[in-house]
Amino acid sequence: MPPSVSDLIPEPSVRKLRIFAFDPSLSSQYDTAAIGEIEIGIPWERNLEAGPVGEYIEVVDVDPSSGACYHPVDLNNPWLLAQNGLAPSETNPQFHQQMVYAVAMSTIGHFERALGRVALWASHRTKAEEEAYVRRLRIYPHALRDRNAFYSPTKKALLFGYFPVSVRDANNTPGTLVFTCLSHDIVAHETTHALLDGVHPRFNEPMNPDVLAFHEAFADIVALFQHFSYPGVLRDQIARTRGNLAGESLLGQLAQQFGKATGRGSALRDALGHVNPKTGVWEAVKPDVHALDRATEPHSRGAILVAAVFGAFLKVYRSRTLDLFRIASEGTGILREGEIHPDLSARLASEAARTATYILQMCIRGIDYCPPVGITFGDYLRGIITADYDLNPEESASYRLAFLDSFRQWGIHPRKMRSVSVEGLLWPSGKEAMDELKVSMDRSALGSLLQEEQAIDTYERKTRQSTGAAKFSTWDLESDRYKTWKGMDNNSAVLWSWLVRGRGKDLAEAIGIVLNGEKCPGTVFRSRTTGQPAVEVHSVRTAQRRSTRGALITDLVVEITQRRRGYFDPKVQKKKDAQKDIPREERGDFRYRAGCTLLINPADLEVRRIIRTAGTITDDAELERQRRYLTEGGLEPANAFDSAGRALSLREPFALLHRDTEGM
Amino acid sequence: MATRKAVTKKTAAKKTPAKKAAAPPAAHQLIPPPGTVVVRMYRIGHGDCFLLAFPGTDPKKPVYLLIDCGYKPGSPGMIDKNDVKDIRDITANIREATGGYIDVAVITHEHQDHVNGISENTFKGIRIGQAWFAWTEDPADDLANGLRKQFKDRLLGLLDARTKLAAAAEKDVLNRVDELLQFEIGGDREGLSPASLLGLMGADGKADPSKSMNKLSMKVFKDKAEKGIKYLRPHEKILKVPGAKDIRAFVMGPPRKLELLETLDPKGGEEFHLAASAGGFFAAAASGSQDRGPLSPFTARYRIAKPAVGKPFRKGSFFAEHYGSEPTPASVSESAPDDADWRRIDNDWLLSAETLALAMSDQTNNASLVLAFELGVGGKVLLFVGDAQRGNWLSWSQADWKDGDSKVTAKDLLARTVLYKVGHHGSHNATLNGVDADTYPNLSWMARSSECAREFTAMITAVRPWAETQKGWDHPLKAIKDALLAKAGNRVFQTDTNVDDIKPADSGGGKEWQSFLKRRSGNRLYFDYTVEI
Repeated sequence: MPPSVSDLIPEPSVRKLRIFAFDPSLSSQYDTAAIGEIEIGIPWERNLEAGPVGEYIEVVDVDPSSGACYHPVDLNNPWLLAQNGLAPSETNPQFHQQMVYAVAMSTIGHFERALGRVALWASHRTKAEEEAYVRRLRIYPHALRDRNAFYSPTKKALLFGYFPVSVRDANNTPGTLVFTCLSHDIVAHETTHALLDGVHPRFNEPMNPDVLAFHEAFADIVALFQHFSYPGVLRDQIARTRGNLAGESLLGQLAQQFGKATGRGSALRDALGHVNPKTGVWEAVKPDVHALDRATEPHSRGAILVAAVFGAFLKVYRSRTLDLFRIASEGTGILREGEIHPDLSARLASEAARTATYILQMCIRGIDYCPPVGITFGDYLRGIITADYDLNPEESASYRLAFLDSFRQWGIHPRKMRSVSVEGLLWPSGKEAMDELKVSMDRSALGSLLQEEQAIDTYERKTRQSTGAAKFSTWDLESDRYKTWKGMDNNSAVLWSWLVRGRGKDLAEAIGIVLNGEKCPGTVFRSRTTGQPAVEVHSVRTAQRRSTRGALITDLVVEITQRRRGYFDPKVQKKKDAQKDIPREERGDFRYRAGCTLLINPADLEVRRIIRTAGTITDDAELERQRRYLTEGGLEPANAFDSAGRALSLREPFALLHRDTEGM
Repeated sequence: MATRKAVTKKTAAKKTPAKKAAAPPAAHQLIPPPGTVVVRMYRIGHGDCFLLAFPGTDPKKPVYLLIDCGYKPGSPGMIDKNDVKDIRDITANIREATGGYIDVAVITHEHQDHVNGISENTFKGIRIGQAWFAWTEDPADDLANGLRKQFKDRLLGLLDARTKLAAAAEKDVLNRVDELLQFEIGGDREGLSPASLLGLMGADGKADPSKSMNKLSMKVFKDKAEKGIKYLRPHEKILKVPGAKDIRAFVMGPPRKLELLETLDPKGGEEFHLAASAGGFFAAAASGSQDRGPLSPFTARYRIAKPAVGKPFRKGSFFAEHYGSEPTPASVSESAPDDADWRRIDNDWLLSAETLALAMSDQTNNASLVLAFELGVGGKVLLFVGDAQRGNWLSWSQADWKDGDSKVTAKDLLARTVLYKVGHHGSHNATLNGVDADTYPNLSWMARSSECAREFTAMITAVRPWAETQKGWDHPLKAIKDALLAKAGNRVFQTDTNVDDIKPADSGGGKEWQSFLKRRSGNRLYFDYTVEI
């Protein structure tokens, strides 16, 4: 656009693009065609190039198995701007490019809004173990000839497959091709894997039965509630079934239908309900406190987490729509026969969408309040509750109760918890943790981190600015993402030096970090610079919280971990633990990690929250727990040949997990 | 014994270059003591070979039934590194033990580690009465013919994918695909040898899976069968083991339902089936010629030809800038370049070959002939499952057998099982775990009466030192072995473990253990286990 014109016309804030609301199979069916396509608004990107290649996403449409590339779509083409992008089409690869871009950007938007900061992808680790900035997530819409789609952590890319329909059923014609990149939920699901990896790069290391399940379930939760958050999607369906009070089974059924979108089984949403074979009617499943004890495999466990969050959503939705039903039924709560009023279905749909949006934000915010490794569902519940409490201490208590209630009904509760109440679930504040251990740290110590220069010459991770001294830098949320990334990199170094060599040492014990090598088994990794137990500072990012006066405060979220070699054979472990000077290159059979997440308030120099892993790096019992999980059948082998442990070193950890969903 | 000389000569001739060989166990005919059945488990390597000696209707003439004869090349040498066995030691013993006549020869499924010991040469001097195969081998069965066609297409597609993987230097995946292909092709060499591939060459020089080494091995039994070939379907007529006294055989698998054959690892309600089209779809691309245009799902107007890997895109074009073809220079900038090589996906689609190969291997395993031998009507049961995996297991209880006016159920047969030949080297999914109340057959359905439980014994055909170090395979899986040890009170045979090293959990062992000790013996070639009828 010529600059002179842009002076007169405000820049758009939103770009509207058309997508398949579910997947092509639904829009080609007569009775669902009306809701088959929707138009969604995604943040306007000024410099969007053909691809599309924007600030966050680059769609690169190469199809190696066909020996072809497909011309990249230019969404700034005036003709496309005038018609809100290409019309949904299975046969036009440019529409495929548009759809993956639109859905992925929509997911990114939810993350940025919920977390209050720009989204960053996981860094690329070079062969020299340096970290490089990855500006954009790459999306390959036609990468594989396989019924599979996955996020590749090494390529920082989403790979989507396509395959011919092989089963003849009501929705499919054999021989036709199915494109996984045309399923809204699959795209949102995979994008979420990438976003979560950007926040927690260690969340795909299976340390306990919940870790892999969490990655899958979280991705599915985001896909599901993002879908529910589009205003138009639910209205039609709610009207059609006259919102049979609260419409619970309808929403559950819809959630499942979305998941069934061709290309991915609904395994993760199986726990929501099923069709009763006797009556042929879909029924919601009743929560089961013992379900989690029986489920060992990631998908069945993940399904329970999805069901628990969905249960919380239904509780809130029900309480928020009861009044509407009363108004519409003259106070009786029982609707008359016949179609319901369009106004009512519109209001019900918008309540559902609003509730879905809030639940989605809660779920995303929760990931800032999790331990850095080895997450459990119980930890996640505490994360969701604490994050929401910190942001809205007064307002959304009913949401928190709904979560608590639903999780309890599904038997999800934190380990070693004395009581389960909203109060009791909040992660301890820094003061509480330090009191308990009788450690004290005055504000000036924390002040030294934020204000004083730290010598970072011995920082163990190689960065390009690892010489001399550096100060903690601040950055604002709207700033260039590259600067944000650099700032984080710098601050990790500063924080490391402060914690290991500076005044932060006093804090180490309270947060479960072991600095004294004499207290450590030989298997704990040592720093290449100090020779003491290595300390990794994963990230220094920001999270938002509301002050008692209602002001928005930005806390720092810091993740610190330590690592130790684990051996499948307990006898070898014992021997190695006693051994001094294990060569650096020796990796052991698996990695045991421990550490903590800290939330620091830079304004009043206070440690707001301390979130520790179950044990410290010297904790043999926790190491043993992980070993048993890996070797004694907890982690299932992927096939008839490999040991379960091979999952620890797979090139594409998500590829396998996703294939499993389809039983391939 | 008359035949003894011949054996000794053969072994001696064979062994000249080998390391010190233990004295060959005395070879003589295997005669089960009156009122018993002897199960001889050959320590053939990582693979199966069982000889069952049943009492005959003629008391002087036992009936011999052989189940499989194969091993993974390389594995026999790691049972005991001072005692390198040769397959001919095993087959010579079979010859002596049976007096040169096998009444029934059974092949459970077409995998290298079940058939590669069978050749004209190794079975010279052995006659065969009946040969039993699963219905999947039946040339007159349409379902079987369809499966074979599909199998052939997949195998050819995978051979092509293999060539592409080799060209793309994807060594790890290539090795894994080769290992899996080797199961399907057969032969007695390690790795996918030129010889084994050559075995696949037809007259026109094109690969022809109907000439695979496995097929040749199976043909030996088919040709030798003097009293005909039986193709067995599950849940049909209860079979009599010909010539044996009161021994009946129940065919439990393989299932006739395709989805069960394909069910590898069902999770959740909805199952996707790897139908022929999906495999063929991949294979078509894998075997694509230079002109692969028409394979693309999109019309030409959207397409730009993708240059061969390593060849550049048009300079300045979108794909030159955002995908690239050159290796990324070593001096990395702080920000990943747009055309970084580590982000490319040129070969990723080929990696699906491994999944396909795994699926193919699992499907062949699932097509295992599963036999339950009943010792006298209503008596104890010996269960030989081949390498049946989950889908096969699930099918056992989906129908019953008619026995005169009454019926026999799979649950009943399992409840009477006193000997279980563990599926697929004790791997994941080849022994189902569960509880008695579960609706699918599982380990806890076996040996339900206290009488059977006291006797229950398992046989694992695995050479762990080989599997672990040579292939990185977890055979047997610890969880499964632990469950078996617990269930069988430690009465678990394993190919790589000398009988004397099978120890009771508590120091003395009880009455059951004493009985077990009396009924088992073994040497470097085999274990003998006697079951009273």
